[in-house]
Amino acid sequence: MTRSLFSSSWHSVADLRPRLVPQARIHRHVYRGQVWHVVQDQTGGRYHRLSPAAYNLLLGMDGTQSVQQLWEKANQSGDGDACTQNEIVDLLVQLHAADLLQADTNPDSAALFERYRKKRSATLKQFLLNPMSLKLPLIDPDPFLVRWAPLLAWCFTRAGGLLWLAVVLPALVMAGQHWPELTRNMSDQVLSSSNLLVMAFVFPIVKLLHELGHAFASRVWGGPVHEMGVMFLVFAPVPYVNASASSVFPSKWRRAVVAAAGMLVELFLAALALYVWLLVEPGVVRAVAYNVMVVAGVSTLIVNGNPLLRYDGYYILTDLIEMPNLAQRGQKYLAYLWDRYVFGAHDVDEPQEGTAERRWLLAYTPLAWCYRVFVTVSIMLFVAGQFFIFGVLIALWGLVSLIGMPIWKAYKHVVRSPGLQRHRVRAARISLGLAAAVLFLFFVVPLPLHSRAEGVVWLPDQAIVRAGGNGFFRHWLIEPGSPVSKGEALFELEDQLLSTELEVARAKVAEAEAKYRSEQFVDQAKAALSGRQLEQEEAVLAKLEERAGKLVAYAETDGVLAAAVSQDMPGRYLKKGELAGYVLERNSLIVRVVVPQSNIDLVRAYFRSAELRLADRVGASHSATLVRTPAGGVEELPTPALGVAGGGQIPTVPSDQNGVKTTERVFLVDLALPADVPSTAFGERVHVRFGHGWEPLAWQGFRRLRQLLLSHFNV
Amino acid sequence: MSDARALLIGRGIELGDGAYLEHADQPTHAVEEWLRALLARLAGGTAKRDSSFVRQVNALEEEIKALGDDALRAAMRAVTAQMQTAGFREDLLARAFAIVREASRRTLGMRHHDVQLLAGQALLRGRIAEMATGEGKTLAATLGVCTAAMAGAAVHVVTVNDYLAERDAEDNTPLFAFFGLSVGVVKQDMSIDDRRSLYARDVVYVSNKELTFDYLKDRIALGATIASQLKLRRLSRGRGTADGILRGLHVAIVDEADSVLIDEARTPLIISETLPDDLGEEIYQQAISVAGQLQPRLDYVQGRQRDIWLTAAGESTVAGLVKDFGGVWKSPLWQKELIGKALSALHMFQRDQHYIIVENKVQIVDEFTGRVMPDRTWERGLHQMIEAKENCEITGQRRTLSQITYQRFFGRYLLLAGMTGTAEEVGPELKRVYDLDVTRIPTHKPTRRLRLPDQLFRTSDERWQAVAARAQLVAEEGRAVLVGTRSVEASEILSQLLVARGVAHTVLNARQDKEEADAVGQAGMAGRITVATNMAGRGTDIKLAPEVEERGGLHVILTEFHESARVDRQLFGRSARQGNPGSVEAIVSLGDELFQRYTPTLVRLGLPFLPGAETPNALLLKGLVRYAQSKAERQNRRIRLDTIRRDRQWLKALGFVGGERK
Repeated sequence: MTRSLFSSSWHSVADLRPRLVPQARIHRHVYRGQVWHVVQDQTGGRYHRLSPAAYNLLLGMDGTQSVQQLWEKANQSGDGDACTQNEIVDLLVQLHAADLLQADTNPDSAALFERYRKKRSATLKQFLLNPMSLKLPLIDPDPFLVRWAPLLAWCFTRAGGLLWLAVVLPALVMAGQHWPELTRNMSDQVLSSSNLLVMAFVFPIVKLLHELGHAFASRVWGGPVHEMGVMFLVFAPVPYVNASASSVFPSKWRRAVVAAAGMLVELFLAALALYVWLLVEPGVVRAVAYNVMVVAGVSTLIVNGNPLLRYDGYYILTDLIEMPNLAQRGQKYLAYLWDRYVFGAHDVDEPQEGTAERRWLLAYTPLAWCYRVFVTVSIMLFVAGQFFIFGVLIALWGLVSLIGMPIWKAYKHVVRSPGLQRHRVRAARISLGLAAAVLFLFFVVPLPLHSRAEGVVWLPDQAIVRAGGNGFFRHWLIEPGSPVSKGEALFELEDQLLSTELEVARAKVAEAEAKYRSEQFVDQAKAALSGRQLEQEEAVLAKLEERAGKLVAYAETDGVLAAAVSQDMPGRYLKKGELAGYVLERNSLIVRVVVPQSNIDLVRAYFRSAELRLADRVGASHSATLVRTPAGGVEELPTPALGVAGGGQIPTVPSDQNGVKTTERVFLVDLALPADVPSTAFGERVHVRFGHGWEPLAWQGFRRLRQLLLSHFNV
Repeated sequence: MSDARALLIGRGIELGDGAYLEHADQPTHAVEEWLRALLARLAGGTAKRDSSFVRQVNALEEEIKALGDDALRAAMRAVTAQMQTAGFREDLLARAFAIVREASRRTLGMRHHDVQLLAGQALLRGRIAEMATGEGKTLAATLGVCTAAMAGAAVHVVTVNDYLAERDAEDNTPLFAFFGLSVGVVKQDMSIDDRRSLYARDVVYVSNKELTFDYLKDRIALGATIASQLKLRRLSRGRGTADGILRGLHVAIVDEADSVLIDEARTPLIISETLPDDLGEEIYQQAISVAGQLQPRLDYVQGRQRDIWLTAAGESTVAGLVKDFGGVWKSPLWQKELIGKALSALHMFQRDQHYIIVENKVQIVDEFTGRVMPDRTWERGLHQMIEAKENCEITGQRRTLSQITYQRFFGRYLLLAGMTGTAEEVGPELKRVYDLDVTRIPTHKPTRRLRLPDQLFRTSDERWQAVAARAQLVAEEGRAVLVGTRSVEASEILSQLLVARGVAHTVLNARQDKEEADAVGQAGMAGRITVATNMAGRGTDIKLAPEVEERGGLHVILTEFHESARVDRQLFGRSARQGNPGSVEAIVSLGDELFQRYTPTLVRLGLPFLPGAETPNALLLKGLVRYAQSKAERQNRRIRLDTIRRDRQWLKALGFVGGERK
């Protein structure tokens, strides 16, 4: 039942006497050892590959024989593959769609007008489907090309090729030699505002020359070029030409050269620009040369030369491997494989591809799709960084075109594809099952949820010994290095001024007391006055004594007293709050982790576990427990080592000398240092992975998206 | 000569360039259609009982009444002449309707009610008038028919069958004759020449099938001729040259519009001819014998979805077996085709299950209903192969000559309008496919129909017993009873039960001939029980005897819900017509096709909880029926929309074959 002989539309075409329009061209091509007869579609760019039987049929279409006669004749010829009625109807439909068919009928004028209308609205439709590349045809460059082609014909000869090599090859070598100079601060140089101006001037000219390269290559070998215009690539205007006439060149090398001509011109320009750049002094000319190199070199190699995108590289590839319509055939072939092996449809038509061709198709299609996703996502991120709203719009468009459209197409394929007619129920079940599985995977299956942060091995606040007041260090009360217990006095400061003030205050108290005593029983009124004075003096004294008491530092925890430069300390002046030393205790070291704002919610609400790795010994991981989550955020890092300037990941304000001021609010989370970490690790950077339990992928994604939107709208 | 100017004024109609006047096919966008359906869903129009239009007509009544017959005709000619330049303007329409109303009173003895005027107005505005059953659609239509015909247009009144076409035409002929309008009724089995002369008349009553076939015949005969060529031909050879059967597609007033435009539009209408078989008997015999030698699983595989195909090994086996045969056997493609068909014939189609042999002929049996369908054949080659398998005479091949969908055909009328009692569910689809709006017409008198509680039984037998008992009981009260059944078999079962009970009754089998018409005439008598298939529902008007009316009117028993709730309402609509009293009830069983096909799981799950032959929760039953019917309606709608979509795709792809071949 694979190919039914009879068609239900046969009665409409059986009596027709069709013929090809006189201007139709049939070309004989040899692709991968097989003869193809290719009818060219006048709208350009599309092939109609004819099977040998269809080709024979086409030869019979001279306007004298009816379709019925043609079919009977084809069947009687016996040998080889006969045509089914459906295939003949399809062939006629295709030829008609390509405006290549004439028949002995009155044209259906309403239908003709309708087609005309459709064609006109097609441009708009194309724009809506792919707003990233809208074509606007402007002029017919053919007369210009015809006039100049003879003069440039030598470029496309062996001599031209040699000249090109002679210019480009040395430039390549030199570019290698000057690589560091060329690439230093490239993004800064290219994206600076003054350079963008130069770029805006250089870019269209280079691209125009690129397109003229295509146009001349095609014209020189006899392929007319009738359309030139502007294409909006990601909203940036770029010139384009329609050189599809070259697709009928019998030589694959010529076709490939036409496709490559644009890149060849650009590389040539880049080479010339390199010489200029090397020769001239810094200035406008050098800047222009540099930009020509960037445009012609980089964009050519990344965009045009990449066969995974449908630009020049793709066409060169399809010409060289002799597989035209590679992308479409790949999709068709994959759809066939899917129908055949997943849906189990044994009666779908198998695309006629050879073994080597199958390999190409299998490899190319998924790769191209992945690359397209990658490019779209990159564009999206880049644009979103600059203009958030546009980024969101492009993201929506990308979602529709990369995921929505394929799903819609797959749906239509399952629901309507005639090949699946007998297997539709099964196909629908499998599709629904797969969709359910994917949804299940995304929305139900919990996956581990992690967030990462950096921190330092740090001391708890009570382990830090600070000066209680201003004063000169007098002496250690306990030698550094020896164990201390909580509450022990550690060192003493001396403040001459304070001790003098103390003495004065004590004297004043004594004086006031004496005065009060003497008047106490003599004069009540006076005594009340002096009693108040005594109280005042006593209060002053108490305060001073308190300050004096703080000159002695006490251990707030058990441990070993440590100081960085213990022997230099005596005699040094310490300000209040200044660090004097530490009371180190094995189990009291903590890890202070800096969590950015976007993750703090997770860490706070869903802390399940934490795993840390010391920057020095990344191989070993240790699990840690939470000691304290912060109430509020700070804008200062505990150590510059965590900031970008210090080699960390947290962005810091560039103007800050110490490199601890952060650009955004951060949160300091304390973890207990696990027992198996050596204590010498104090101050060392630590990578921390917080485990937040399990959550389905979709919710994880939604959370990130929400944070992104919230942060962008500054909510 | 017909003159359709009145139809064209101010309506922005694009004419087709074919042989006669018709609407050019309108390209419509899927989104536009979808929006149209949405619009129809949101905005339903109900005509106002006392609209200014009705007041205008009523205001003219006295003045018109005073005119003599000739003056009346002259007034009608004057106003319709004005319409040819001004279109169907409201004031002109009011005057024309007032005249037709008066003429009807004089000729038929029936004066149009106000609500019928509204229906007539809706028709000439190209809308569907939804009138409750029994509100006098046929009479309402005469307003539009007379006005359009007097204005010069060829008016086609489209009915669901020949019987109704004839009956309606007969009923109204005196009125048309009053205005000097000629009436034609086109029926099956008429010759082409008769048809042509009947279509030439001012007003034509015709069933939808006949009309569409005649149109297709015209397309085949006239081919690519365009209007101007036809005129030239007429000039050169004088009048009376054979041209189209139809005069053009001017006005179609479709009675039972939902049935014609929706229910029957599921499949395209195909006109075909039978040609002697071009392959020869021998080939089929060879194919059957070769297919008989193949081994299952080795040479061919039989799939679960009733399909069968050759394996690669089978293909080479076949090639070996047929290498000595000549002719088409040389082509591998033909080998596969023939052997594939032969395998299907041998293994997939069983005698007495899928077909029967009658007089040495293969006749298809419908798998669902078990009914024999004598006119149907299987797809090309298969039928002949089965004939070869059964050693019957090989019949010829059917060859399609032309085909058209109802959607496309009726869309070509310059003015398409319709009437129905039941447009509720299909309003959006009518708007979507035909761009027809539905206008609800208020009832003339409030309805006095009493809906008794439904009864549901587990088995069909229990149901029939209950129906018979119920019918006997009501009939003994001195009322008339109409029992609607879904099939001829069902009516026979019931008839036997009634005979067993000794109850007199009449059985109608939807042949709708003269005999049945007489039976319908008697159905309103006291104590009479009429058992009829649902098909008899539409259009039959059962006149009640006065004593029946006193005792509560006609009682209708529905014995099985139809897939479409509209059909059920049509049956109920036989009772309580035009303000008469009446009652209806449904006595159904869970074994009915509707439940078995659309809610099998629900029924199976619910069955154990049903406490025997009792009335279940009325709400539950209502919900079950509504769910099953909406599911059925949805499925059918999808089939219809698919038909349209395929038709459109096909039209678009085959643009090169020219208008007339499509």
